[in-house]
Amino acid sequence: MENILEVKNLCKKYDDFELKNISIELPKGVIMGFIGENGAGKTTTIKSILNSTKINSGSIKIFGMELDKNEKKIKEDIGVVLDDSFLSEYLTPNDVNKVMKNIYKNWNENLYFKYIEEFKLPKDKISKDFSNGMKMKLKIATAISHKPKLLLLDEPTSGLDPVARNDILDIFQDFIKDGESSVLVSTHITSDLEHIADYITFINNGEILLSKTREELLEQYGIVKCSKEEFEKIDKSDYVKCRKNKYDIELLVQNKFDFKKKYDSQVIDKPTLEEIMVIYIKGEK
Amino acid sequence: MNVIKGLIIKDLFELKSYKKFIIIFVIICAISAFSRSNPSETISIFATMTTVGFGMFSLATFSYDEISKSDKYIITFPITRKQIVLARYILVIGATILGSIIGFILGLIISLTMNHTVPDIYEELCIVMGGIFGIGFIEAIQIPSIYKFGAEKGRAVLFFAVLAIAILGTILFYIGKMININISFETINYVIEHYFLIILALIIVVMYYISYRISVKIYNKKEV
Repeated sequence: MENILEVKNLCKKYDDFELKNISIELPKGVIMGFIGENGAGKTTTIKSILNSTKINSGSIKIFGMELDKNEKKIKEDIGVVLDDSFLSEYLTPNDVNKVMKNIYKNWNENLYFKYIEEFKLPKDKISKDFSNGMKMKLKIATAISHKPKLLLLDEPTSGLDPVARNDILDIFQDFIKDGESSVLVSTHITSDLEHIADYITFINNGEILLSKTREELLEQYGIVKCSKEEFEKIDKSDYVKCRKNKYDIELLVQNKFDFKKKYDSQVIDKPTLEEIMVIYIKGEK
Repeated sequence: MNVIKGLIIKDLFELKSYKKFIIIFVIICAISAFSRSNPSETISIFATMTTVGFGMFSLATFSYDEISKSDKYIITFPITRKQIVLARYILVIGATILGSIIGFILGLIISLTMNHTVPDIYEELCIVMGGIFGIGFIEAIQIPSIYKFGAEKGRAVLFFAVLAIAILGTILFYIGKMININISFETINYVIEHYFLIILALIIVVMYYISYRISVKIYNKKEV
């Protein structure tokens, strides 16, 4: 499958934080959820992909082109939604259109106003008076109205109510329908991704811990709850991490079918992304 | 160029909320100009006030961007950092010149209505150019400072920069006096009378250019 985005061995060092050898491959026509706790390095990775911050080493290819040599050309086909940043809130959706039609060569005014109407946003009201959900919808409408091939979103659902979050997730699914565009969405609200993401990439403390398809993660991984005695009989190589609770021990296993075969008596639950994330971060080997 | 135009339009939309304030400001300038009996003073006061006012208003766009963290978003557009800085300079210089033109024309109209006499246009232009130089000097220091330290700290830097220049000027004056440099005021007057506009215009252009280059350098290195 052709990759829209290829990040290889990306390193970025700050005084108190470091991205270590980040590698990501995002195929065409998919949604990739980029998960990790706050401060794990999601935003820094996205900033690096956008060349907003200078990387120390590694390479970034987008649409098959080197980012540093073709930045302007590449950015014509990228749509960006940032949680905490947009044009001034004193601009109306009408104003935003007048600005953006000068920014992107492929800006489609009709498509933009189609989204504005679909999202029920008032065209002449400054966005300062909008709810958080409305503000996010305006950001998304703006990001996809030049028909980008890659949509990068940094925490688009944080601070939104469940209905607004659901609306926004529907937009992403619509966006990749043509099979030509891809979405990379960073979030710490992992439940949002359980129904829409094709791939999950998990970053922790500046390192990629895993990058797999959603099916592989949710169907093959499992959570085993066992007693201390049962735990002692389990081989260390048969689980990824374990978390010791007050009354039992939780194990994250990579292949629940193999595990079940080997330890016949164990009950294995289907994990949520949140459980996988928490055991990975809090658990021990 | 379209991208630069887009950024300037964005800034103008931000300044839309200043619309009423700008109108009130121009009316206040007009009232203070009306109160002068000397036609020359009418134009110079009006034009200087509007030049300085419009220049200062345009700098407010930095604060708008800082509040909405627009820099982080704008940097994702298909645009170079140099173009982002250029757009801001075009806006600020454009607003300053627009302020001086509005002030000059309205001042002239008021002056003619009140006195029915045509003032010395060259002299008026020199005063207006002096106003542009004044605000241009502030802008030339303040814009790179804002790029470096942000809108709030940038203002503090301006204060210290002006203070440093004043101290340096005073020191140079006394050094000149001590080593007995004879300043010929006749020559200075001659130059001022004949070449003041051109010299001042050149200084303003050089000042903005140096400031722009410094800003580009700072912004290229900045983590947005």
